[in-house]
Amino acid sequence: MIDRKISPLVNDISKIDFLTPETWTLRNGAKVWGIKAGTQDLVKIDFMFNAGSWYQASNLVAGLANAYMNQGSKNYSAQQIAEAFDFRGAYLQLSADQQHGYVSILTLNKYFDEILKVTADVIKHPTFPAKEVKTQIAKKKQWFIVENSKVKMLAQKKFSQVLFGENHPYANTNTASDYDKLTREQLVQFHAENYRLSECKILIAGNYSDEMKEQLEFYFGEEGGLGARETIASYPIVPAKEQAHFVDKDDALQSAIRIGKLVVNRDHPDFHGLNILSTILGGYFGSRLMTNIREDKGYTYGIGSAIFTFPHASYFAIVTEVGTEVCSDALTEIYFEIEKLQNDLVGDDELDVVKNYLLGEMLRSIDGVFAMSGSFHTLLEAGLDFSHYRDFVTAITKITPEEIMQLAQKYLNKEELFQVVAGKRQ
Amino acid sequence: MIEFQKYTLKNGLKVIVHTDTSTPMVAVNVIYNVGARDENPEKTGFAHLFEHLMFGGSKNIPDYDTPLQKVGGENNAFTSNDITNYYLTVPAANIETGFWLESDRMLELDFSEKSLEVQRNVVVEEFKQRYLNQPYGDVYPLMNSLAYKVHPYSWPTIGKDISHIQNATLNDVKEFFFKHYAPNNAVLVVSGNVDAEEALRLSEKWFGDIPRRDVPEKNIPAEPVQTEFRSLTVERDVPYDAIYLSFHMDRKLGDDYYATDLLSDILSSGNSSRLYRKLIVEDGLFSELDAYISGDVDPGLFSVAGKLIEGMTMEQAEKAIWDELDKMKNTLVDAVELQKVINKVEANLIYSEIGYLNKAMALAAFELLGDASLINTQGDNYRKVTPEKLRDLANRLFTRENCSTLYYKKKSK
Repeated sequence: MIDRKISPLVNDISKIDFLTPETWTLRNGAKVWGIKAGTQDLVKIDFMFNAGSWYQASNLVAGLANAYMNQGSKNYSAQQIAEAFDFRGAYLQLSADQQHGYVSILTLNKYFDEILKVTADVIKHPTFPAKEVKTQIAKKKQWFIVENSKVKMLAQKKFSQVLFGENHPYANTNTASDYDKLTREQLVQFHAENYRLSECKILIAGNYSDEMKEQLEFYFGEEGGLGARETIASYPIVPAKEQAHFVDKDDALQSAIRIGKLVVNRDHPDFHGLNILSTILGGYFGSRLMTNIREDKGYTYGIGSAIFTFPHASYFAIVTEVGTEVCSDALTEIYFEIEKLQNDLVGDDELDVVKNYLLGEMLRSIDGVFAMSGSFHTLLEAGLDFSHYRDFVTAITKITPEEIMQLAQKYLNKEELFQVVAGKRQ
Repeated sequence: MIEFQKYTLKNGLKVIVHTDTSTPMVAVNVIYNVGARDENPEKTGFAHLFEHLMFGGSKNIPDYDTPLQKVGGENNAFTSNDITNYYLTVPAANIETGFWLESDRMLELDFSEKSLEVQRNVVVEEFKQRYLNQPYGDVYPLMNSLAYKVHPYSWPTIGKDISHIQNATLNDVKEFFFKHYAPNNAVLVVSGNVDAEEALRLSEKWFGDIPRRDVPEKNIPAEPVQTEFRSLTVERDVPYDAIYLSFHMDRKLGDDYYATDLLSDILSSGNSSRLYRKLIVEDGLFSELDAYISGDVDPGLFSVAGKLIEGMTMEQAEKAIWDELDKMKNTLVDAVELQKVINKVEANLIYSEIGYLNKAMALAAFELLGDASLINTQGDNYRKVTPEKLRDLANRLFTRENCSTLYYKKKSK
């Protein structure tokens, strides 16, 4: 009989191989990173432009200029674009964040040429036809209003304003009436100024061929157009004066909570350690916050903490939704857990669990062509490469309980933490 | 083509191994043949509550998560109408820890009052977070109780009522475990960087001595054929009116299943689909409009769900949806349009071959349905569908007698 009380041998997993992507440059200066991996004949390509809300003059413009690029281009109608992708089982994904506008495609290799041809037209020559844009805006406005009736949205929005100040591009200040003010001309202009091929970062992942690299050059390498920008606008960060904020939603059954502050960026020596600290506090199922607030008290379905990074700023945040009646108890417990990290050393067993959990996560994050592409994408956004993850692995294996306590004392002081609650006042 | 090996242990546990050496990881996936449809109507939400308790420690291991995290593992689970599925992924070097943990909780749970009390609260908060505190969050339970009068699909997996969860006792929990959690009522799938021989050896070692249990034969009441139109009107504090139509459809292994799936794709998969082009873009009637199937083991629902654009009436919306459904009944789908949705299904099958975990879950679900090799015949089943079949199916499906409609109105201020 086996003794089930004894765990099997634990094997070391800290040797992680990070593939080095190949890189090359198109003749107009656009940079390409290639991750050649996988056995299936498919590729995923991400085109990354400096076209996030950082570059917009008024709310919504960057997001919608990105979202409506598929509403018609010089050579294809919206319907033709949709058919081209759907018929080949390919996907066109448009998204934008504070810093970048993204165009991503996923296709089987056998359709690569046709898909790339349509994508090039969408990226280079979108027409933003008036009727389509109007219909899409009406639709999007309703989506916005539905989303803004959720406590988590209310809390996150307020939190971003509290951290960065209402005039900073990392703060979300969108309102429903912004949709009424938006004009088609703003989208046309924003696209022309910000989707510069010469600035584009391209990430191709999958089982691609040399011929496909040539096609990439053919469709996206053309010269002319606007060159790369030499400087970009900068915005001062103006955090709120008060630490605690409340957003009222009287019919809410749960309150959404955000607690956090600005922290150092990915390139700072403390970053990796801070990330490990955040993991101990709320970064995995066995974390302090989950153990206390969910698994011991049952106040929530889930609670977590993480470092959220942008190219120009990063913040730490605790995120949860808790029952209205237990909201103040939950807040007390959250601060209790933070203070414990500042006052007591993390035990060796717990730290060992967190280290191995993070190493496992690291393996998972580069496992398979989609995961690898996704992870590298995150690094590219920050202007980094896989050496950032190699450093993280080293930091994981080296960090000590003393260093974690010091980081907690340096970065998690209660009087510096902002707190936002959205829900019903008790 | 997804290759796999299949074995049955003496205690009845089915073991499937799929080797994928492109990953440094392995997945251990256990699916149990129990879901919300197996619940007592007075004690709904139990299969799902039970899933939470499976993480509260087992007979020989007080804590499930910590030892797994300690070897770089990660896990989760989900409950549906039909099944409960537990999965973990771990670096291949530490595969045995996965076997150790999964087998011990199949052997026996550590039934504790404290764990039950906490998880009751956690599930109540989950109920609020997913359903009660979300705009349109109660649509699914409302529709299912309208469409099903007898079959247990009438209640959602989270439960019919919060009180059912609050009233669950430790005795209920024990009874549920020994009734449904047994090697002879489960399928174990191991996928990833492991060879079949090693996976089988570990399966024998850790699962082989778990006793077979008496699992009662399922006795789930069949839903009688619906013979007249049903509707329900509710008013809620939401920003926009919405409309939901559901039609009874075939079970997952039924002859019509794959064709029904394609019918929903033609109507609403992608921006070139019919509902999107006509009712969202051309007519500007809806801000969101989708058609989808439930994909349950027993006969499920084909549903159309739409949120109306401000200023449009419920009558306009309902008529517009029916016009599109009638077109499917009266006109043959164009060959190119059919080819489009089949191409898309085929591409999606290829995309899904990346990912040892997804493959493990799919193999487990198909084996529980009857045969894991069904995973490799899906493409053919879709390719066999003809325009005539779709028209014939639409005529049987989209009738008023087979329809339940939910009018979800915003409260007048």
